[in-house]
Amino acid sequence: MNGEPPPAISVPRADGPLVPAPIWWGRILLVALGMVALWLAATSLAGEYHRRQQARALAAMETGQALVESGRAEPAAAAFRTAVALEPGQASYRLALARALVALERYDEAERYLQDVLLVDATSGDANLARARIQRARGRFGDAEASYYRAIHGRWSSEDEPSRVRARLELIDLLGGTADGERVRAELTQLATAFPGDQPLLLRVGRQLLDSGFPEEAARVFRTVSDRFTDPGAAPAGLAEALLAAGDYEGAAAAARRALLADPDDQASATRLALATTVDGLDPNKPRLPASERAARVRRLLELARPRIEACWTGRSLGAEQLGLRARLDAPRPASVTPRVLDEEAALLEAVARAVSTSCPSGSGETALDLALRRVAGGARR
Amino acid sequence: MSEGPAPGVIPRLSETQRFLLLAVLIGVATGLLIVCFHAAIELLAWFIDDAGAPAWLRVLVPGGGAAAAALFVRYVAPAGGGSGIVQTKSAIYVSNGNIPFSAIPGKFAACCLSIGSGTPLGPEDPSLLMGAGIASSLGRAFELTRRSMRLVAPTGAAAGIAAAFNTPITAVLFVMEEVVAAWDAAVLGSIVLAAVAAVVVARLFLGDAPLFSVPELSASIGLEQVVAFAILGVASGIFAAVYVKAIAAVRNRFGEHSRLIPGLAPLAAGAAAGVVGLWMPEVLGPGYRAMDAALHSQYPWTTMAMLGGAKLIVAALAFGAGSPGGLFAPTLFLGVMLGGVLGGLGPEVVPALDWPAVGFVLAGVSGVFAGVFRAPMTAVFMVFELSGSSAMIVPAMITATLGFLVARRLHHRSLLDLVADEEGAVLPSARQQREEEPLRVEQALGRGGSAFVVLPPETPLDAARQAGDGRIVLTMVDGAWRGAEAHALGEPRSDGAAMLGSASALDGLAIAHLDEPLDAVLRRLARQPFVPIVSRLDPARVEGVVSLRDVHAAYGIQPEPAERHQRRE
Repeated sequence: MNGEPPPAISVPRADGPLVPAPIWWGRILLVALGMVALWLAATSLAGEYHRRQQARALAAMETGQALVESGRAEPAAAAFRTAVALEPGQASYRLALARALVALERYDEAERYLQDVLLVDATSGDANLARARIQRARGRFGDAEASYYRAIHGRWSSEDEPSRVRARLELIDLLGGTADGERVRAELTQLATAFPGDQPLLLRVGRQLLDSGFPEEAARVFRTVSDRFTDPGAAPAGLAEALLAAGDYEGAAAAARRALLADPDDQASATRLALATTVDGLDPNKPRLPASERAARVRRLLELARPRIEACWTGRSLGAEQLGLRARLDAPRPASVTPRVLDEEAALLEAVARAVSTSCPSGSGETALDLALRRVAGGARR
Repeated sequence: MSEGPAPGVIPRLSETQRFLLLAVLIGVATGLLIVCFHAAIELLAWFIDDAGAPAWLRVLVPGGGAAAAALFVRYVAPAGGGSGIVQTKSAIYVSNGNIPFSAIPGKFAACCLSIGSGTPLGPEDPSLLMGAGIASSLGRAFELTRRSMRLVAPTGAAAGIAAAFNTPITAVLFVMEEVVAAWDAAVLGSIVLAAVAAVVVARLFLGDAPLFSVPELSASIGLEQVVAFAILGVASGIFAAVYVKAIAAVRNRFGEHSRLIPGLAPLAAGAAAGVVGLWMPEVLGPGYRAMDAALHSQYPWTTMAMLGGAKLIVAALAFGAGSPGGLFAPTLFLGVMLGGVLGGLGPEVVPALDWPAVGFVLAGVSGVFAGVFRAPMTAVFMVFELSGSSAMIVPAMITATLGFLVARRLHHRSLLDLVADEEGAVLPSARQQREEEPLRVEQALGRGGSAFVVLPPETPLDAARQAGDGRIVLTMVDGAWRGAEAHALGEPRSDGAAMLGSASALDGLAIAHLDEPLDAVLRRLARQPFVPIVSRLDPARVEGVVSLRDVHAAYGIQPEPAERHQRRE
């Protein structure tokens, strides 16, 4: 103030009497009373304001939820917007609005509301899952994967706990799309381990493992369900399918039988049982087979494979190896089967099985012969 | 302000400390009042909304509310009328900071009725006046001096706007830039304290949530975006000028000083807002929710264009017709919508302009606000405070600067100047002060200054007289400058003192520096014939000498004929 007299509340001078004038206390009291009155008025008005605000916001939320349930996302979003405008601090309102906007494919807007939620609570599982879905829908798979992980390891209310599983399943689905099989297997296995008591989830995980090309892991999950639950549901059928794919025909037949016991009308299990039994009956390398039986099975497979090879090679220009194989296949078999003859014919069968699997793959659907030949060729596993 | 302890009612506190305490008291009281104001407006608006009125009644309610409020101001509480900002400025510059107490309840009731019933104006400017009114009332209660009364009113004004808008930095800057119209260090501390106290109280009662939440923004700005923001700045300036002209036109024709039946113009303006509100309810009231929605990319650019155009019309009609309410919120609304239009349209036309739309929205706020209120500094910091992101500083600076310059070019007077003119007051503004920068010492020296010579104090007087040769002779004795006209040095003293340093003709001289205001030198020239201008780095180095003649020349004052004659002689 450039050295000018300062602004001041007028007070007695230093050399004046130190006793304050009564008028000061009167004014201070008046101001204090005014402040108290203002405080009371503000408390009362603000209280009423908040009560009405909350009531209106809640009503708007309920309207929005009812509209969502009736499949009307557009008016639902409008109702949620009202709720958010009235109670901007309520993360759950913003989340509901973001979800409605995702349903309307208004990803830009939805993401902004999710950002608000995540700014306040970065560990919100719900918000991260919604964000992951937006990112996935927009093709930002890397970001989506990170958001899915945040959702999986984020915070969920107890009633929303199933959403954590849903997040993991969506992540698995996302990973499946990226052809990263090992990560899919790891996620599914982790999921099965994390929720050992959740039968529907385990069945789903088993199915997904099977579909993703991991029959042994799938068989393990199905077996867990079959062994642990009194009513295993589709687990025996799944186990039969998984074991069949894994090349364990004896086990597959046993599982299919159990599935048929539970549901005799299960045609798929009946077919699997027949297939597994046939393949098992053709398998010359089955442990503890007598030599005569093994020889019979080798010859039977050679006979069954011959027309298959012929049909496949007819009209083709064959190489020396293939011609040699055909000549050996056409050659007459000795009447008596010595161990040496059995070894030679087993070697021939193995060569034929490899030739079939490499140059004559089956068309639609694998037959018992295909499975048996593949097993002989050493490719029991897919 | 003096810092020494002063005895009295509170003997241990200095006057400065007591003034700051009063600022806190003002802040708390204003915060409480603004909480009541905000809650009352919302409760009234909800009451009307919940009533579920038919369409014709929804048209009439804003008109009826505005007319009732205008009549209330006219016949019951005249002190509660007018623009809050201009009234506060008038109080500071015309009536020594005195605002009648009746202005507080008058403004409160009138604006509650008007804004709560849907008049498309905002509560910030009225809050500013109510804060200033509280400060003025407390100042009178504690018998502040006249100067203190002038300082205490802006303190309350800042508290009012801070509590209403929930942005203390913006409030402080706005009051300094537009109400105080100068950067006064003495008042800054109390303004900041009052603003913070008011915001704390308001948040305590109303919650921490801002009026509208701005999504997180982090994006780097490239050349394309700079060009886009420059275009937005120019558009903001044009839009602001159109807005101000529209308000001026309506005020001239239908304002408070027109010959229409009292209350008729606010009734018509309110009804017009009600009609528009049937299709676009977002334009009614302050419009914070629509702004929040625009910030969250809720509207396509076409909708924002319609909302912006509609708000311009209804706000200009309402304010021009004299409906109680402020222009702060409608101006922000227009900025939001203009920014949103360019943010949505830009990337469609030029894909390279892809930048978060919220950035354009905020930059639009900055540009239009700077154009309407001619307060570019406030505009930039307001956007920074709202967004909390440094990414917005450069865009806001571009748009605020261009918006301000273009609006000034298209319409020389700001909105507040126009309103003040209409109310018959000529009030200063920071813009005016910027344009009328005081002269500085260097400008007097730039015209040559007076001829001088610096000699050591041990120089013999004869030699000094000769060396002076009609010029001013300066010498430094014991670290202080002394000097005299050469011809005035006279003969060596009879006691034999023959050295310059001990010559009796030498005057002790107060010095000045190149950057000081010329006014400061003029005051020193009342006590001495000339003032040495000394380097700030080296006090022994004289940059020049300024005499009264040089000061006159710098101010462009022609010498008196007698003086000219004397000089010729």
